[in-house]
Amino acid sequence: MIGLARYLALLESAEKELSAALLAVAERHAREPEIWQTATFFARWSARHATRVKEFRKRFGPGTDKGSRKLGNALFQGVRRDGIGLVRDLHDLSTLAHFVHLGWDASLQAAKALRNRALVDAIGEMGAETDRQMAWLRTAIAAMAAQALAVPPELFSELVASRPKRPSSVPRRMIRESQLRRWIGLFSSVEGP
Amino acid sequence: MLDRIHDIWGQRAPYADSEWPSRLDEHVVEEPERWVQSACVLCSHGCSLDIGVKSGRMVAVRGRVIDRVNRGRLGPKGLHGWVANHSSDRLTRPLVRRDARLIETTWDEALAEVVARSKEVGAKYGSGAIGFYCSGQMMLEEYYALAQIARAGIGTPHLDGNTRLCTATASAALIESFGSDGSPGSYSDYDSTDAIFMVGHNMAETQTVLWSRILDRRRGPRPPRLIVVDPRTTPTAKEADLHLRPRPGTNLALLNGLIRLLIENGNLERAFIDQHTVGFDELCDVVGSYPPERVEEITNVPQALLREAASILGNAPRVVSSCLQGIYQSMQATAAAVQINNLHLIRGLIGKPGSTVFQMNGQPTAQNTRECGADGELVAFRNWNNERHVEELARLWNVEPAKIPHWGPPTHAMQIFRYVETGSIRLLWILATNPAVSLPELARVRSLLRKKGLFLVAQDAFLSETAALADVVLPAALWGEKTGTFTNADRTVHISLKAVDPPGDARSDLDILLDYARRMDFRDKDGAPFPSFTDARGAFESFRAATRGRPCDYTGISYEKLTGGSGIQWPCDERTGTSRERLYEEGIFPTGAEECALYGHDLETGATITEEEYRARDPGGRARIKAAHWQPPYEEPDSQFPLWLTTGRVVHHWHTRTKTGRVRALNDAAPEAFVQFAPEDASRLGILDGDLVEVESRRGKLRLPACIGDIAPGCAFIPFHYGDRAANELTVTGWDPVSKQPYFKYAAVRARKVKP
Repeated sequence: MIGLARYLALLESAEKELSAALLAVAERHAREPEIWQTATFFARWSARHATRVKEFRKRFGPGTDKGSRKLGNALFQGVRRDGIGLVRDLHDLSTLAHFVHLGWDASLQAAKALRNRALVDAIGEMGAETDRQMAWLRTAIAAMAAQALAVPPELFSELVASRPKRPSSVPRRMIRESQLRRWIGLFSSVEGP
Repeated sequence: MLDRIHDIWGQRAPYADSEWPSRLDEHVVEEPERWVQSACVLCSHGCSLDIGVKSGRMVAVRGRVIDRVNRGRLGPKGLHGWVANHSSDRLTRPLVRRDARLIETTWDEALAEVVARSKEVGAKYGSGAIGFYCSGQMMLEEYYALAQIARAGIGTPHLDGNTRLCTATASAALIESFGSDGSPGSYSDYDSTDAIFMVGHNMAETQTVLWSRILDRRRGPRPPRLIVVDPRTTPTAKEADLHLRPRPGTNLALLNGLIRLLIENGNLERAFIDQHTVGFDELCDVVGSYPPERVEEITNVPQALLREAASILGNAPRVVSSCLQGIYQSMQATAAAVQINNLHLIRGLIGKPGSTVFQMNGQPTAQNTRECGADGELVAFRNWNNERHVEELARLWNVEPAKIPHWGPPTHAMQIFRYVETGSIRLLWILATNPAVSLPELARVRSLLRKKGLFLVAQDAFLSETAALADVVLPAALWGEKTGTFTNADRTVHISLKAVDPPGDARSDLDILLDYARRMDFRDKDGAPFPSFTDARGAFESFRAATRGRPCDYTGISYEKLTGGSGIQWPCDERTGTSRERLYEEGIFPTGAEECALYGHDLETGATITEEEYRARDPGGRARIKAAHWQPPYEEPDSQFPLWLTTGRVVHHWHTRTKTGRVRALNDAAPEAFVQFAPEDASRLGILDGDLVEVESRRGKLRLPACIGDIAPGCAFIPFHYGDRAANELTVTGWDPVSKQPYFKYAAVRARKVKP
C-alpha cells in the first residue's frame, strides 16, 4: 500500500462529508432560495467526486483516514439561524471545501510522480470544481456578511423567518432521503452534521 | 379615429433597405390648444409622441413623425394609456397610518414622519436597516437623485429596481459578454437584416410598434426569415417561418444545441473569433455535449427543426436576434442570454448594419435604472468592485469613497425583501412599483410587507395593492405632469416635458426625493447640501458629468438638443457632438480590467470572478465568449402537479394594470385574467373554453376562466397583470444565480374544472 491510497480515502470521505454538509445547510436555510439551489447543486458535484475517487482508491489498495469525519463533526456547532448562522454555515463549508482542495493538491503531486495520467486528469477536473465551490462560498459570504454582522438582528422576525420548515417553493420530493442517497452513492459511514 | 385597440399593428407599409416609412398615429379626444413633446412610457420601445393639452388637461396624443424610433406610430397602450392620468382615484394628498387607517395629511407632516423614522432607524441600527425599491417607470433624473440619496446620503447598499424582475438579465448578459451594459445595435438594423431570431420574446404583444416595423419588412421585397422560440403560439410565433416550442426551463439546452450545429457546419467567422474574442475553445467544449438527439430529448424540439434553424441562422448574411422574458425569467437566464450573444460573436455579426443582438428591455426607463445606478451597478456602469471606479464616483459627488457602499455587491431586490422578512431592514421605501402583485409567491410577499416593526413608505400615483399596506403614502405625479428624460432599448434618449400640473398636492418623484434629502440635511464632504441639484435639469447635468468617458457617454446630449427633433442615441460625447448608432463597430469591447462594469461570474454557480483572477486573464478589449451546461429546473411537473405553468403579458395591459386597468378602452379589450391550455390537456381534464378552472401550485391557488389553444401540450399560461387573481400566487421563489432575476416562467401546477 502506498500513501496515495490513504490520501484518496481521505478525499473520498471528505467529499462525502462535504456533500452531506451542503445538503444539511441547504435544508436548514431553505428559505434562502439561492443557498438552497446552489448548495444542493454542489452536493451532487461532491457526491460524484466521492464515487469517482473511490474507483481510483481501490486500485491503490486499502486505505482509510478518519480525519475528515472528525473535522466534519467539529464543524457546524451551535445555533445556526438565519443571518449570522448562515454566514457561519458557509464559513464551515468553506473549511471543508478547503480541506478537499488541499487533498487534491497533495494527491495531484503523487499522481504526477506515478505518471498516472488518468488520475492526473481526474484530479484536475474535480479540483477545478472544488475551486468553483470555494469561489461560490466566498461570494455568498461576501454578499451576506455585512448585513449579518453589522446590522443588529430583530430576533423575533428572524426566528419566524428562519423556521426550519422547507419553503413552499421547494417540492418536497427534491430533497427526499432517497434522492439524497442516490446522489451520495450510499455513504454508510456519514450521517451528516 | 383609428382603432389601434383591435387593429393593433395598423396598416402595412412594405419596405426594404431604406428608411422605415412614417405613419402618423393619433388619438384626439378634443382639439388641443398646444402640443407638448414627450415619449411613451408603456414599453421599452420608446415611441416619441406629443401630448395635446387644452385648458390644462391632456386631450390628445400623436406620434412624432420626425423621430427615429417610431416615425409617427403609436401602439394601443401609447394611444390610450394617458387617459389614466385623469382617473378620479388618483392620490392627491399624502396619507399616514393612524389607528390602522390611512388618513389624509400634509406634506410637512408626512415627510416629517419619514424623516424621523429614517433618523431613528439609522441611529439605532445603521444604514443597513434602510432599503429602497424603485422602478423601471421613473425618469433618469429621479433614479439619479435616488441613487445619490441612497448610496451617499443614507449610505445603504439596499437599493434596487423592479428592473430586477424585468431586465436584470439583459444587463448581466451584456456585461458578461461585452464588458458593459448597453444594447450594441440600433432598431434600424431591422431595416436591412436577412434573418430575425426571437427567443422568448413575444414582440407582437410587448413592443407593438417595433413589431410593425418587422411586419413591414416581411411584406416588402426580400423579406427577412423569422424564427421564434416560445412554448406558446403567440401572434409573434404565428408570423414565424419556423416556430420552436421548447419545454419550459430548457432554453439553454436548446441554444447550446444550436451553437453546436453552427460550429459543426462551419458557420464561423474565424478571423473575428481570433482577433476579437476570448473563450471560443471553452464554448466548443461545452456545446459539444448537446447533439441534436440529446437536445430533442431535453427540449422536445424535433431535431429537424433545430437543424433548419441552425441552417438559417448559420447562413443568413445578416441576423438580428432578440430575447426577453422567456429567457430572462426562466432557468439559467444569464447563461442562455449569453449564448445568444455568442451566436453573434462566432459569426462576427455585431456592430454592422443589419446585424446585432438586442438584450431587450421590458420597461420604458429600465435602461436608466441601470445607467443611474439605482440597481445592481454604480452610476454609468461603474464597477463596485473596482476601487478606482468608486473613487472617481466619490470625487464627482464630492463624498468620501467609504460613504458609498462597495464592500459587497449592491443588494438585489429579492434579497432586500428577504432582509425585510428577517427583520434586519426596518424601513423600506417603495417607489412607483407594486410588489404586492408583481413579486413571486404573493402570500409570502403580503405577509412580509405587513410585518410588525417594518416602516413602509409607498410613493405612487394610485393606492395600489402595495400602497394600501404602507405606513406613509406619498402621492406622485405621473408622466406628462413633470419634465425629465429616459432611454429606450436601442439607447435612444427622449425628453418628456411637463404638459399639465399634477392633481391636488401630488408632486414629481424628483421633488419628493429632493425635499426628503433637504429635510434629512444630507451634506457632501465640504458641508454643501447633497444632492447639489434642485431640479430636473440640474440632475441631468450632474448625471451627464458622471457619464464622461464612460460607455454611456451623455456629455453631448442636452435638454436643448433633445427638444424639437428626434431622440438621440448615446454614446454622444461633447467633443464630437455626434451620437453612435452602433457600438463595437471596430470589434473593440470595453472588457479591459480598468473599464469593465463587473469582473463577471461563473455562469453556472453565480460565483464572482475576483479582480486578481480577471486581471490574470484580462481580455483587454476582446469580447468574452462564456458557456454553461444546462441544469434541470428546481421544480418540474410530477404526478401531483402535472402541468407546467408559465406567466406573461397581454397586449392591452401593462404590469399590474395600475394605469391600463383604469383606461376603459384597454380594460374592455382584456377585462380579466384567464388560464390557457392545449386542447389535448383540456379534453383530458374535461375543460371547455370559458369553463371556470381552479389552478393550484404548492404556493397557492386561483380560479380563472379557461381559454383553449395556442400553447404547447403540458403547459398552462396565466397573464400576470391582474391583482385580483394574480398569477404570482402560484409562482416559485428562486432566481438566476448571476442576474438574480426571479423565475416566473416555470412552476408545477394542477388544474380542475369547478362550478362557478
